Amino acid sequence: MKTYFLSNIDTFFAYCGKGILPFLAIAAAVYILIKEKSIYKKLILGLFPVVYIVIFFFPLTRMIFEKVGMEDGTYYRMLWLFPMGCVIAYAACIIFYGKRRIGIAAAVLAIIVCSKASLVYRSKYITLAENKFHIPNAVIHICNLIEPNEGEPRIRAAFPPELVYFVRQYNTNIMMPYGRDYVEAQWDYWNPVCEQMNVTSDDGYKIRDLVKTTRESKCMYVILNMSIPTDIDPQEEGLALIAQMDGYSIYKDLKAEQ
Amino acid sequence: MGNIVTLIRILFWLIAVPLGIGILPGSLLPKSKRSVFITYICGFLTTIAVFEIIAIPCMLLIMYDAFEYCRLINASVQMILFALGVSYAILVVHKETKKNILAFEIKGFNYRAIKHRLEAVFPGESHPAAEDYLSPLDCVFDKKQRYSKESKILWGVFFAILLLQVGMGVFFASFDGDDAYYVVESVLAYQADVMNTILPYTGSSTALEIRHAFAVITMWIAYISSMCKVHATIVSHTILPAFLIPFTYMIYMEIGRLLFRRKNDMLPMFMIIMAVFMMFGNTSINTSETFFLTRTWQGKAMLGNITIPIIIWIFLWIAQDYRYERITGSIAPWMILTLNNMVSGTFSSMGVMFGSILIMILAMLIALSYRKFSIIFKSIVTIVPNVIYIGMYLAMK
Repeated sequence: MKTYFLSNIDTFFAYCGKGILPFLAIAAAVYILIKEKSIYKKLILGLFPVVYIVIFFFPLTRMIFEKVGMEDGTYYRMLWLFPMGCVIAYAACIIFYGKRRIGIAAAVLAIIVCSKASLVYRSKYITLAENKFHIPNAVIHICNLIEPNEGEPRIRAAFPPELVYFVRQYNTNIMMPYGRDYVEAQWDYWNPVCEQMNVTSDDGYKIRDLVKTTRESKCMYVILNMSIPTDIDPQEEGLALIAQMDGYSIYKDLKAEQ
Repeated sequence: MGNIVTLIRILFWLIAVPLGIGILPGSLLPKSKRSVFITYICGFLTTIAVFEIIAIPCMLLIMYDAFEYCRLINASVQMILFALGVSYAILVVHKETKKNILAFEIKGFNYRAIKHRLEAVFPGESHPAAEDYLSPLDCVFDKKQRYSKESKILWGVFFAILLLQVGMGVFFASFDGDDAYYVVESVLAYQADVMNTILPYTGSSTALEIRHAFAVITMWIAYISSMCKVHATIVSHTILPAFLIPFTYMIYMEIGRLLFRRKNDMLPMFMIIMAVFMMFGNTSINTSETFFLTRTWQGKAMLGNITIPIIIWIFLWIAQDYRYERITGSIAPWMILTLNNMVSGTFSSMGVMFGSILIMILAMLIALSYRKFSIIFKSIVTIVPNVIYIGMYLAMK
C-alpha cells in the first residue's frame, strides 16, 4: 500500500512537471468549498475536486487501476477528471466579482507564475508547418519519387530513423522494414535494418552490412542521410543513386528480391 | 475552385450534418436549452455514436473492404438522420409561423424572417420576452442575455485568443510519435479500405488489436477524409484542430452559462481565463491541456477535452435542475450523458472507465447532498453503453 501511495505522489509531481498548477487548482477548489453559497456549484467545483484528489492519492485506487488491466504508466490520466481549468477560472471569477479587468490580470498572472510560463507554443516540438500534412517536405518529395504507380504492388523502403514517423502518414503504399516502435527506447525492440540505419555521423553507414539487411527485408529502396558518411560507395554494392534531395540520397537496389 | 468545393464539403460534414442531426435529440431539450451550440453538441455526439454502432460490427464481421462498407452504411444513415432533422426543423418553423399573428411579416428572406425561423428551431437563441420578466420561475435567466460594452470587449479578447489557438493548430506542426500509429490507421482506412488489419508502423498484416481497434475515432477521421476527399493526415493535423478547439470551448461556454446564470457578464472573464489556462497548462507532457493543443486530433485528447468537460457540464445542469426543483421529466441531460458515454469508448478504450468513474462519483455526491437517490439509478442507466463496451472488449481480448 505504501508503494502505491508513493507512486501516486510521483505521478502527481510528474503531472505537475515544472509548474504547480494542480496546487493552484486545489487551493481554488478549497476556496470555492468555503466561499460559494450556491450548493450545486460548491458540490461540483468545490467538494468534488477535493474528494477526487483524496481518491487519487488513495493507494487502493491505483491498485484497482492496475488490476483492471489499464495501460502501464497511464495513472496520471486519472488527473484529467479533475476539472482544473474550470475550478481556477470560476474561483477567480468569484474572488474578483465586479472587478473583471483586475481579476483577469490577476488570474492570468497567477497561471503564468504557477506554470512557470510554460506556454505550449514554446515547446520544441512545435514548428512552423512545412505543408498541409504537417510532416517534413523531405518525406513528401521522397515518397512521391519512389511510390508505386496505380495498380503496381506496394514497395518496401528503408528510411533513416528520423523519417520513419512520417512516411506512412503520407503514403501507406510504402512499407518499411522497421517503424517507430524500433526507434524509441521505451519498447526495446531490435531490428537489423534499424541497427544499421540508426548511426551517427561519427560512426557512418556500413554499406555492406546495411545492404545485406535491407535485401533480407526485401527493401527496393534505401534512403540515406547525406550528413552521415558511408564507408564505401553504395553503388559498389549494387545500389543505384536515383536522386539526392532535401539532404537525403535515394538509392534503388537493383539486386533487391521482390 | 477545387479548394472551395473541398471547403464546402468540410463545412457540410463537420458542421451542417451534425447540426442537422442534432435537431432530433435537441427536440427533447427544454426550450431554453435548445440553442445552436447545445444542438450542435448533441448532433456531434449522435454522429459519433451512430458511427461507433456501424463501425465496430463492420470491423469485426467484414473481412475485405470493411471500411468501404462502413463508409457507405454510415453515410446513408447520416443522410437519413440529417434529412429527418431538417424536415423536423421545417415542420417546426411552419407551425410557429402559423401561430404567429404577424405571419405576413415573417415570410421571405428578410432579417426578421430569418431570425424568426432560427428562433423557432433554436428557441434557446431568443432573448427574454416581456412575460419572462414577470415569470416567478426565473426563466428570464435561461434566455439569451445581452452583454455590456465591456463584456463585448472581453468577448473580443476571448475570440482573439481562440483564433490564435486555432491558427497555431492549423499553421504550426506539432510532432508526436503516436501519430505514426493513430494517424496512419486513418490513412490506411482512407487509402486501403482496411479497418485496423494492417500494422501502421511497417505495413505488414496483423490481427485485430482490440485495445486500439475499439476506439474507432481513427476510422471516423478516415470517414470524414473520404467524404471530404481530403487526405486523412491533412484532416487530422490541419482541419480537425480548427474544428475541435472551438468545439471544446463551446462545452466550456455551456459550463460557464450554468455557473453565471444570473451574472452573465462574468462569462467572458471565465472564458478568457480558461483559454489562458489551456495555453499555459503545458507544464508536463501529461496534462490534458498539453494534449488539447498539441495532439488535438488524437482520441486521448478528445477524451480529456470533450468527454470529461461534457460530464462536468451535464452534472452542473442536473444539480442545478434538482436545486431549483426543475426536474419535470427532463430526460435531456441523461440522454446527452448516455450519448457521451457511447462516444467516450470511441475516443479511447480508457474513456469508458474514466467516464464511469467520474459519473458515479459526481452522482453520489449530488444524490447524498440532495437526498435524491434516483440520480444514482439514472446515472447507472447512462453507463450501460460503457458496460456493453467493456463486456465486448473483454470477450474479444
